[in-house]
Amino acid sequence: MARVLYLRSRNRSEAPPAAYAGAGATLDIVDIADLPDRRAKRRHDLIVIPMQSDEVMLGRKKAWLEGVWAQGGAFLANDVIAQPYLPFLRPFVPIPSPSLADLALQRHSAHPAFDALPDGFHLFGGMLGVYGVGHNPPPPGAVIVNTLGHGSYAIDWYLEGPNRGLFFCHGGPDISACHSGPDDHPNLTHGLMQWIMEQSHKPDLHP
Amino acid sequence: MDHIAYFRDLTPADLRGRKAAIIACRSDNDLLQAHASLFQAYLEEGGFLIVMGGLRADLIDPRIAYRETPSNFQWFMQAKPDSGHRRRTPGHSLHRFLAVENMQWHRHGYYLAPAGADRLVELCRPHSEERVGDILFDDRGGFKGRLMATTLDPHMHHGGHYIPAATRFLNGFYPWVRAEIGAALFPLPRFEAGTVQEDVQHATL
Repeated sequence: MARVLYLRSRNRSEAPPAAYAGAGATLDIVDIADLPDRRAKRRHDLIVIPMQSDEVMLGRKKAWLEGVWAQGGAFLANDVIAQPYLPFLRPFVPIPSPSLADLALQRHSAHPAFDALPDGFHLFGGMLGVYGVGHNPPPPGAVIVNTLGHGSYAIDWYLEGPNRGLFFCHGGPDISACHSGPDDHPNLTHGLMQWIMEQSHKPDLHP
Repeated sequence: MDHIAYFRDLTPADLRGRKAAIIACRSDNDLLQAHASLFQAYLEEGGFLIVMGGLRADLIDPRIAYRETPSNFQWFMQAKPDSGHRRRTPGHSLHRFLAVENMQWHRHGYYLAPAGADRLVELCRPHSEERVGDILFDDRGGFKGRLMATTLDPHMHHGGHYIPAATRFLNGFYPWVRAEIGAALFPLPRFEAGTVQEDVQHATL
């Protein structure tokens, strides 16, 4: 069975969002502070970096993160980035003074985890703007999945790694809050996690 | 901000001589518990400690009670929206810097402030004055110093860019803090909507 690692930043008594535990994989939870300081053998099929993660501590674990990436690791990263913890990441750029139209979500590329979702899957209880209000700028070579508004801010993108592996970036509050409940079909978080793991295990990502 | 300390690395030297210390929202309650005696000592030396939302001020002062609630994210979408937040202690200096409209967004629980505390934002049942608890209070009864606590989480939401009231809160709150400790009011600390403020992100930890 696939193994997923959830990086926890605070409050050990709080469980991760339920969606991360239901993707048909075992979920290991580790405090970011307890991660190795140096490169180590990759042990998980997917690493989840949830919203509000401790980016200061992630920065201290850069050697481990870069080692995972070099070994073909896969990541599902959430939230705005203030202090980049991998070399290809850049700080969040918000949409300046967004109108409601600027918060509209558009599909930029087909993607199996998103294609079957209903319109409005990105609305949080009917609210626009929670899914995202800008982007963590996509690095060269990234595939943009979803954009926001007139300026086509890349709210969701992924980057294929140097040795297989894949980094999926959702530049807003945790994607597990969107169409990922027990009654949501398809389940966005489960579908995305499974897709990331399938993609990062493929021998050749370039068709 | 004159000094920013990464919460995990906090030492007594970080607090020594500081007229005010703010623990930013969504910091780690396990670390708060570990540092509780440090903060209690700071308060006993006359310090002014401000504990933001997502944190449990009752870990520092057991006279405080905290009550968990579901978050009412869609409160403003009601036909006649009412957050339940009510301005109290109208003569308190904070009210000259912040209107109650800038001290309301969705809820993350509430406190029951200790007896004698200045209740600044009270939580009432919507469309009523029936008290539920406290969203923000200012207490001088537990220590030689001063403990202010709120369940509001403005740093986190300012950094998230989707709750403008959080940015307005910070733009009123920090000048108030400076005024309270006798610091120069100008240049005003300014939180800009549409920017990522690394120092605030740093302070959240």
